[in-house]
Amino acid sequence: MRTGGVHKGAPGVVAQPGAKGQPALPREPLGAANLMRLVDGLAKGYPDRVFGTETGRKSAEWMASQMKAIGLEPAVGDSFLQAFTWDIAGEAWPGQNVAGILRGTDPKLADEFIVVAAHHDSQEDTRQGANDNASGCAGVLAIAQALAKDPPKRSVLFITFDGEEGLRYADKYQPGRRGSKLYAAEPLVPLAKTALLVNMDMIGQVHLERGARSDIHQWASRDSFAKQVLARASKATLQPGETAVSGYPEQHDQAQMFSTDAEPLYRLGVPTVNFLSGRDLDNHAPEDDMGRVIPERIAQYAKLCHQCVVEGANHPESLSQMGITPGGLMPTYPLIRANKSAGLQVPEEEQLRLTDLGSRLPEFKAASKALARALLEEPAHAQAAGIDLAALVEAHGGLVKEPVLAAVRAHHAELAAAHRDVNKNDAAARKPLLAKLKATEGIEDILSGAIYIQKIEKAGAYYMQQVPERLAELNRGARRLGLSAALKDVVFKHDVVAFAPTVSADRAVHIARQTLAGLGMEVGAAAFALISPEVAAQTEQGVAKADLQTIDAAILSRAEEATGRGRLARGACRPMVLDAVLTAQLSGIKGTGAKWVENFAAKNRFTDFAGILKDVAPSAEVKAKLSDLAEAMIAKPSAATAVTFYREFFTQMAGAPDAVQSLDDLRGLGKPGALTALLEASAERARGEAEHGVVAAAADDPMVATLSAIRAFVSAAVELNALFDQERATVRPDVSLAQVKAAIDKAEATAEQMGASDVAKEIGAFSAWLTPFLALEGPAKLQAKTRVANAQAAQAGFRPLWSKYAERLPGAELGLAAGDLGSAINAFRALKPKADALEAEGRQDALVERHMKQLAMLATVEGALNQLSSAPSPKAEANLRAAQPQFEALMGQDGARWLQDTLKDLEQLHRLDEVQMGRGARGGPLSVVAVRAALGREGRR
Amino acid sequence: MMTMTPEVEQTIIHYYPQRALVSPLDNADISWDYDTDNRSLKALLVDLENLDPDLRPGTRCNYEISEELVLFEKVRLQLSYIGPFAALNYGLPQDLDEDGRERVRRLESMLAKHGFQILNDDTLDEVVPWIQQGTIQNATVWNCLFVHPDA
Repeated sequence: MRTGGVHKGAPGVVAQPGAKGQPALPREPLGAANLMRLVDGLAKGYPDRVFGTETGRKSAEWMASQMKAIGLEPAVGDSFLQAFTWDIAGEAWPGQNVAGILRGTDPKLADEFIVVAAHHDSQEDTRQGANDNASGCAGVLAIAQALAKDPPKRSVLFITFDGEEGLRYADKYQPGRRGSKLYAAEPLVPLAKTALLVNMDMIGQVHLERGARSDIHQWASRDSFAKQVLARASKATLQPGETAVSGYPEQHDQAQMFSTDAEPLYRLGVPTVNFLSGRDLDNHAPEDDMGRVIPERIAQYAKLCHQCVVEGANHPESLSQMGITPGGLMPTYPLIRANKSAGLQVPEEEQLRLTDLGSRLPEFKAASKALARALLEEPAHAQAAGIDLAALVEAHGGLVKEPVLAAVRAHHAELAAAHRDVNKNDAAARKPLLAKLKATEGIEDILSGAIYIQKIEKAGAYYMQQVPERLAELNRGARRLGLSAALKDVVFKHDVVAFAPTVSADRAVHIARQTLAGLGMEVGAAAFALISPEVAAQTEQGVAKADLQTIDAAILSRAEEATGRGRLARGACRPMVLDAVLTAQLSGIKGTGAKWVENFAAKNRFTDFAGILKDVAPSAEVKAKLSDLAEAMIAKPSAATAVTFYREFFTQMAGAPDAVQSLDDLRGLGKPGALTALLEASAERARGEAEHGVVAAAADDPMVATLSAIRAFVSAAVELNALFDQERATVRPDVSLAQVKAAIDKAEATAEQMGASDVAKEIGAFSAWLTPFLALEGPAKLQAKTRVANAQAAQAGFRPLWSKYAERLPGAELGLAAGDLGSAINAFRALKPKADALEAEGRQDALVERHMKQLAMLATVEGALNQLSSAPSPKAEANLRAAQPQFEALMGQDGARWLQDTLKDLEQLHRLDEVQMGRGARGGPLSVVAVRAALGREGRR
Repeated sequence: MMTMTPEVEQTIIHYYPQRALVSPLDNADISWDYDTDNRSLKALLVDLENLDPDLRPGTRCNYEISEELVLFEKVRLQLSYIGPFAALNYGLPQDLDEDGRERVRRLESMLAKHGFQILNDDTLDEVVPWIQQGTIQNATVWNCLFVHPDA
């Protein structure tokens, strides 16, 4: 615990106690006076509430006391505090999130939640942290007060996070958002039931000097629900003269999500509305005190936030009806969530392109600006579209911004609707509309592309990934309006190719393989529970083959008994052994007990047990107890009641083997009963073909069938568990995902066969989850190999040429070959210092001669490859062909094959060009120069 | 490998009788006999707007033989004017999250309900061998049903 600011004591901010034990609530929770009192309570009461300090801890307790006073329900058991630690330089610093719940009123929606959040810690360089973020905390409390008076349909979780601010420690900056990340990993309400996050970070200093609400940062996630909530709330709270908010999802400033507590839940697919303002002032400075919070602004903003919560909480459709599944791919499995979040990174293969586009960002900005200017300076374009573009821009302060684009889009929608009203055969009526549509689309494309690109502040940000799409828009718009010259020598064909999916195949497969390791353990443990729940509870090991023997023995014994081919001897009752066998059969079969007991009862007639007990029980007390247990078992047959009964029965019968005998006699079977057979199975087991024959002959026996079902599930679990490397917590390297899926499917089928529907359903969910990964496994392997090969090719200096070819050729085989070549060339290059050293020694033996010869051949091959790489031409290709003998001499048959393949690939590229570039008419194969021109800008510059 | 269905083939033959990729609008001899008054299209639009009230027109079309709609901000639906054919996110990265996939599933089922055939990328990329003239050679199904080049 660090030392921090001194708690000066917070003033009470909640109004007088309510009548009849009701919580005390202010008359106007969202009024400026109440909000300022709340800000004051935290900002002045707990200055320097930095994470890990005593003041920080007390500020959390103060927030908890406020939630309690409002009447919220504690969200962490009977506490409002969610404690966690932040590991900084090996030291665990304590922190606390504060959370309370207001239950919803609609029985159908009350199990869904709106999360209203802010952070209560302050940054190190500030003092009061009034705007950042006592203002957001005041918003949380005020909204809670308002909703406590009029609870909405959905439940609401109010939470303030600790550790949002980053810390400098040991000369290193430690990024923050720790409390919200902890919450995402350990949510207090189910993520899958979290309909919306409303996060507030600095709401006390909204700048409306220019009179437009569009200047406020308010961001909805990409989800249409969050977007609708924000739009409706904004409309409902608009003041006269204000315009609607502009924080809609397409804007690249969505990156603002990633500097606040909204990020962790946003990444997990929770619909999010994020409120963030005041960035034009230095919020991390001592000046961020009460004087910086503007009463009327915080009130206005809090009302907007409150309205968002109301809109979200009272929306009549459930999450499933809206088609929203927060929590990502596999909500019930935390590991995939963490990895999915990590998978948002740009794949390595695309990083090079991203870097390239980033380096040319100034060119794109200049060109798009010039394009937009050309659009505005020539009125004919707007006239052709039937829109007064100049007036639109003028109405928006002379700036080309989103509202202008929105107006053009609205015009586009109107034209499209009008076009649909025209009969398709009426070409004369359609053509003028088409011309207008074409011009409108051109304008829309240019504005959309230009606005987006102009807004990018720095290269390398994640939103650079959208640049190809935006460049495509610019290209298309320019072409439609005849303005393509503005983009000449700036945007090339390869630039507009969209980036690959954000998670690359090998990364996705890696994630899947790691994730599944947990499943092996889970199913293994479930199967283990069938054999011994007590041991299963104490061990993290899954089942092993040896465990199957116990079940095999039971099956065999029962089969022998059922077929009359048994060799079983009568023996004394041994409760310990019996207990183990019964446990194996009964106690682990959760959810299937009734079915199992039903089978069991058909053969063993529980009523007989109950009857015999009345005569043989050693004492009245035990007799009564066993009788009650038997009656309970008969009344409600289940695994639990059966186990309880049998355990007690045989414990009491331990010293009375005759009783067991008489039981069998009474049942009139005239041979060892199932219980006795199972008991004795532990003492004598026969193996081999005879056993299998016995079991097969008894296949119709209910007991054998039941035990066989259990055996099949345990066996499937054993097989599944064996596919994992438990130490490394992943699938074994020699095992494919297809094999894992087959094992999972088998476990699911056997669980279902056993009657354990819940277990089967759970396992089945994993099978469904895994399915899309199967198709990625092949590409992933090739991708991983290619990556290594490309690295080797790059090391040898041939990456640029061969990776370009590899992009165009199916299977990326050329990339692999390039890697092999690179590896070989590096090996030969390593000969040079060795040969030089030998030569320096004056040696002129065969070894030196061989090395020198190899180096000479290498020079020839390298020369040919370098020529092809740096100045590709038919002549360079011919030189490479001419170097073929040296190539073969250096690299043997593999090398010869590689070169032949390479030359074939080159021919294939020529054919591709003929087909894809439409240049075949020129006659003859195209040169590599043409290929390069087709592939990217190198050929054009 | 041919993936074109007979319906697609017949539609293309009907609208491009001269084996040239030129706008059917410029050929007075062609009868636009599919959904002439856009009734089917409009009925679909009503359902689509219920699915996403923020649906808006896209810009990848030329309105000669198809139109594009953008749903859920990132799903691009191309609807042909010359036959009951649709394309979803053609040529764009398929990086939908679970929400997105679920929505696409709902969209697909809605299109099927309205009798639209969704063509996959393999079919759309297939070269139509009998189109030998026009703006480009090697015209694909995409070009013939949805967007002529340089639109």
